[in-house]
Amino acid sequence: MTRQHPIKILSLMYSGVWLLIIPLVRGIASLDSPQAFTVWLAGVWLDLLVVAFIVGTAIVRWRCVSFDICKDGISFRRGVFIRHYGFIPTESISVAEGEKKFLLRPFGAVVVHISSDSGKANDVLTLTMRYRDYARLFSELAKKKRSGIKASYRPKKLYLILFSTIFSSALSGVLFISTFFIESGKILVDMLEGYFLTTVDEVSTHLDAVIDGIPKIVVAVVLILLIGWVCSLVINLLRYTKFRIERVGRFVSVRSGFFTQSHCFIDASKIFFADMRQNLLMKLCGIISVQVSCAGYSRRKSRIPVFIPINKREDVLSTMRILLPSSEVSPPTIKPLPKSFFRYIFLPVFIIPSVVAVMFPIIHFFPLWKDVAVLLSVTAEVLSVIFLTAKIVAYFSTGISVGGDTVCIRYSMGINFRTVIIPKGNIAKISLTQSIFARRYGYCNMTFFSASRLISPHFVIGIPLADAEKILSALDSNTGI
Amino acid sequence: MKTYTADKTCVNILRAVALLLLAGIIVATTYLRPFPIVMTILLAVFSALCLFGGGIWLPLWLRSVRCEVSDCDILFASGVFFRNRTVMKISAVRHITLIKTPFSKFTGLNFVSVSALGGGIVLPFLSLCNAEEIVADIRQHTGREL
Repeated sequence: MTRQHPIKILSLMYSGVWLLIIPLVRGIASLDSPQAFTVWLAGVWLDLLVVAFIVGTAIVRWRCVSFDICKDGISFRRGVFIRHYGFIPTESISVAEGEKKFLLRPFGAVVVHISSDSGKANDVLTLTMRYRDYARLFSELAKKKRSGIKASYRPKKLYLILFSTIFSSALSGVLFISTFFIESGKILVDMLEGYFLTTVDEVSTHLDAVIDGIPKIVVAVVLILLIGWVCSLVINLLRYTKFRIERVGRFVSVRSGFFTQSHCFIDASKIFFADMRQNLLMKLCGIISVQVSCAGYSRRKSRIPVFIPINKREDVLSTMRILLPSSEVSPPTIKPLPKSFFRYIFLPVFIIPSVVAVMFPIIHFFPLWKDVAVLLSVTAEVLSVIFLTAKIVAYFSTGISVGGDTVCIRYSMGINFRTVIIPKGNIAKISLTQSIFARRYGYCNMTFFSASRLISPHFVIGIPLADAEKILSALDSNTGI
Repeated sequence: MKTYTADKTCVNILRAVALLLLAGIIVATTYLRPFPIVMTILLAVFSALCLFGGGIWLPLWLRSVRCEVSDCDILFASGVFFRNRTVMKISAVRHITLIKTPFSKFTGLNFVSVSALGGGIVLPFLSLCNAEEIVADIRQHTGREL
């Protein structure tokens, strides 16, 4: 049995130990005589004991984890007092990911995450391996892929930039920045806060020359969101640069990353479903991004389970046919009933006049907030009109088709459009819901729940009831609709 | 394929629970009245909900509950204003739990929870023999110990 890389000991130590070690080292460095050493020792003996305990515990925990890579799978032992002995067969591995983190690379260490499709949400084996062990594990997995389909895909740099731009989130960027602020010292935070407020003042002054009456608080919020979005963009660019995907036999190999180089082996037969995503702008430009749902692939919320970052529709479909032939996209044969159109546009049609109805009482009762209220209302109205447009497009693009082995579902969530291809065997349950109006007009809302670690429903509005019944019976057979 | 319906004996128990809850709210509002008008409105709303729910909606909903277990799938249908029908494939079932409450043989408060990777169904308010029969049916059709 092999032990993890010794660098793991550092991560097993309590992070606060450095607050003890640094003063100790400084104290030792300042000693100039044996008597001074005795005096120093008399003062710090408790700190030394605590440091020794923390380091000793980390070493014990490191020693108690070991693993062995063989042809059939990976066996491991872990636990100090309660020992766990485990074995993951190669056939059960759904995703094996190797992360060459920037700080670990000089030490020849790789963090490996191995996931199986056991159904448990946190069932991941994480080990910090030496490079040679990581190479041995991946070559064992690669041996399984000698025969079968061989194809690779590498997106253009422009498409990667476009992908990072579209899928960057101001919220995730703001969370990242706020974590940085919390972890930083007070002096740095005060300095950055000073710079930020100065910038807000300068931007407000410039904007006042162009547009009169924009409140400073609005400028501050927009700046925060912009900075957050730029942060998220930079993180995504670094995360998904050098993206390359290869299909050989049963496995799909995905590589990406600049500072942290990630290499994933995904068992294609364990992919729950493929998910082709577009927002309104992407739909108008005819470009698609493809993600996959697979146990262990991009399990952290900040990661996107990318399969094809972004490309034109025709190129995506042809690439999918080669890389994931089981997920073939078919045109929809079952479309929503025309009488369900109002169900699609109900919410934005309700919101648009409601915003105006709320704005006027606020302006009347709180005149000091007039500028903010008008600005927010205009923003809300613009977003509502975009939402309405998306819902109208959704009505025309929604549909379901059932093939021999797969179900292809097209639906919308908010202003996003999704085409999901699920193998029939991966559909956990289907729900049909009818309101009073739906019963009268003969349609229902269908919700498909696909097999996955997290509950992921796919919601389709306005399907004729007779067609919904046909879908249910087609799922039990090898026939399509 | 057998059709199972909800056990009607639980209606009176659920009504009693709702009335107890309402009585508790009335007592609480009598002693704690920081905003009398707001509390009176809330009390009126809760009373209307309890009376409507217990007197009209609950019996109709229990009458609409229907479960079926076949070779291929499990069907659960319910709903008064919004009719809902859920179908789960037998092959997707991962584990099944029978939940019995105290004196469930007489109260009809038995539940069967069927879990699959990606979702689950709860079959509620079954009589004890129906619940045990459903569990046995599903185990037989899946062909493995659950």
